[in-house]
Amino acid sequence: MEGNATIPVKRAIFRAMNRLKAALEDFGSMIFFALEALAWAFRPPFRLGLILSQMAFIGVGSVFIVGVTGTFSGMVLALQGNYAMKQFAAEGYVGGSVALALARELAPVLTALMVTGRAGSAIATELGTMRVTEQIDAMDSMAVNPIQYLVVPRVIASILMFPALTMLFNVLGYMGAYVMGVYVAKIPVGPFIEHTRTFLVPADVVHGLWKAVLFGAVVSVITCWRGYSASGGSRGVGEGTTRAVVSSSIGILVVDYALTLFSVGS
Amino acid sequence: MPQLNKALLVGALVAVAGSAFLVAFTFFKKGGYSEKESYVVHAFFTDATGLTWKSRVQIAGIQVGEVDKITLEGQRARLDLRVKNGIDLKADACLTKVFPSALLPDALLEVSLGAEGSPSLASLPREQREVKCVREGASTQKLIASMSKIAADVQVVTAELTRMVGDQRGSMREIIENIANLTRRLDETVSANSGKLSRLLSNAEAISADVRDLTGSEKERIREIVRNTEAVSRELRQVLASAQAVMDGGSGGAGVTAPDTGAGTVAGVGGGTGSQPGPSGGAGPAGAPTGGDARGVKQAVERANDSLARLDTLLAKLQEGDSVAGKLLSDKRLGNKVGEAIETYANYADSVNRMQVEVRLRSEWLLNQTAAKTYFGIRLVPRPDKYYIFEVVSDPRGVDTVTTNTTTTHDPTQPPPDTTTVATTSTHEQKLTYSLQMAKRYGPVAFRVGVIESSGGVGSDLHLFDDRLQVSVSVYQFSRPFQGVFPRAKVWVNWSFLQHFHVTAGSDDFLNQWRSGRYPGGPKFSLGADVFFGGGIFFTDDDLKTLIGMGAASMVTPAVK
Repeated sequence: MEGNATIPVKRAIFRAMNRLKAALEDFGSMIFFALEALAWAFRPPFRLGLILSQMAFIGVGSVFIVGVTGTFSGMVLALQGNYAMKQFAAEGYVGGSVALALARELAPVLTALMVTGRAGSAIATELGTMRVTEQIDAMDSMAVNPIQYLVVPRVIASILMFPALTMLFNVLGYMGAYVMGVYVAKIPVGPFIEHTRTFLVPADVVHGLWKAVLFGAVVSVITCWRGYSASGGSRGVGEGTTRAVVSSSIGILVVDYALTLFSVGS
Repeated sequence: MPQLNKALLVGALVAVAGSAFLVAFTFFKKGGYSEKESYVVHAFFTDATGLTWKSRVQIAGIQVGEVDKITLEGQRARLDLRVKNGIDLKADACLTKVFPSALLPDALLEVSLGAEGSPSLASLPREQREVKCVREGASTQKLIASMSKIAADVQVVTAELTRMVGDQRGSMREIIENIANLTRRLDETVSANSGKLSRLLSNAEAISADVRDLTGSEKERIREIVRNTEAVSRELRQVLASAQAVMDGGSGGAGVTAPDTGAGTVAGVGGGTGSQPGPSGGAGPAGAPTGGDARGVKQAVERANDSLARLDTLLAKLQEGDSVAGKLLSDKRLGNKVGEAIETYANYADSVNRMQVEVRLRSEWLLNQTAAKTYFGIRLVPRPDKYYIFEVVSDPRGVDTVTTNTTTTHDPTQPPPDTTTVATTSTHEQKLTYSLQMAKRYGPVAFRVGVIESSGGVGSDLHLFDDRLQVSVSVYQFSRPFQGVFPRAKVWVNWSFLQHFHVTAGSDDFLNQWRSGRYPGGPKFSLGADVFFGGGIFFTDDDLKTLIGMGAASMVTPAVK
């Protein structure tokens, strides 16, 4: 009786172990994939046209969504900040706190999440479709390294474009905060700007941009890997895309936490 | 996306982001606190609450440094401060921790430089650069401690007060007991004499009631008495004044002849009555004014009676409506008409007064025609949004008219129908034409309609730059004697300057091509687009306004009749 009862538990443990093993194996493969991409990035031929094309797709194509998100994030932060600070008669600090929050945290994270949703999913789908339709295998057979041809331009473009988009997010977010803070919440413009200058130092902006660089690398590697390793026809492509977006989002938040921990300390 | 566009867009995005970064870097860079630009001093605080890394160090509210590092040394907090090189802190400089906001926990350090003769901290070795004078701002704990001390003092005071009040020998208690005794005695006195007090109060009440009744019922009589008293006193004053005047007059006369013993006074009085002439000649002159006054009063009364009688007669006539004034007063219809007429006149006078009359003289030199076209007229502006134009025009092109004569000839010898002959005659005359236009203005745009140069036409004016620039177009002469010819259209621009002058330029008859010729055996003609330029003068004329007002008034008057 006791032996029969333990069988499902054992099976569940084995299943969990197998899943963990598969996940770790997948993670390890992704690491090797990333290292391979890194290695191929420094070997000719350097396909600048492809890189430019991906920069346009990932960067320029995401300007609208990043701009809208940034503007509204800044506006909301200003209003909420004003609501909170007003209780201490410290509305003048809204500008500084919004700028600081945007520069160090919100701009890189929200930009990365938005670009993951727009461009990351597209990358995973495109590469997954190429994989299941054996286009990637065909490249191999034609002595064209698919990682160098397909992955490296996307990774480089992401690493370059994420900081640019983050900076755009910063600017538009602060402008949105300025409009709402100064013109709607009637915060005096002097303290609004002066406290921004007091609170924020260039290192804060640089900190956010470094985060964006890492987020770009993480997102591009994860989404490329999910597409590159897709299998099982169109359904596999869809699953790969979903996993790419979910994994990238989790990866962004985990990396963000780690970077903040290293930067600020516990 | 073509390759160039991609590159362009990526470049633009990177440029924008890069520029934003550079601006942010420049904007947020806090200069002056690098190793080169600052020096480090330190101070020890027993409580560094509110101070953090990068907390401000300031003089008179201006930042001159920042907290570089906070470390714990024993029981005290060591603060390393970076101070700008230009700020020379002396060895006796002082640091004060200040909380700028009562609600926020952030503190800053206010620094005073120290005495001029003291050595500079910057010149000392780094470990000796200590700011020893440290004052800590009032923290909440300190405030609570102070409040506790104050509370203890208050407790002592209140205890002493209690003792003073409660003690049998205390002065406060004695005072209170005295007041209690006083009130008790007062109460006893009132109780013992309550009957007398009641009677006193009753009497007082009765007296006041009597006075109230008297003043209430006999109020009018009392007022009359007061008035009479006033009149009597006034008359008395006059009598006394007259008597004084008479006595003054008597004494003046007596002063010449009688000795100063009072005889003059007696004589004066006697002279005044006329019954007992005095011994001196002073009596005559003293009595004369009184008789004259009486006569004057009598004459005045007679004149008043006469006037009242005449007024009575006049009112009777008015009531009967015999005269014009009587008719006006008694005839309601006539009165209304006269009222309306007066109102009409008033309105008219008002409108005439508001109306602007502008006299205009303009001349244009036509380049193809090589002749001048001249306009003379007036513009009446009764309201800012309406005006009328009357013009006489001398056009070198002349006036072309077409006359059609239809002649029906009836020959009795011939059966019907009758013979009809139609003869069309084109006439070209050099004569003056006239314009009569009405214009309505909507904002900067005015529309004109009426007779333009002796022909029906329409036009429009666009007024710009406070009416200094006027762009106009007119279309007229819709039926012209020439075949296949469009109506005459003219467009021109007027620029006013020096208040009364304007220059003009434009194109006349621009819908048609220029051509000129000669009628068979007749005069020359010209037709079609021509360019002109010229100028003019215009001014407002009040005299003309008056004339127009008189003319119009003469038209209004019969209407009233």
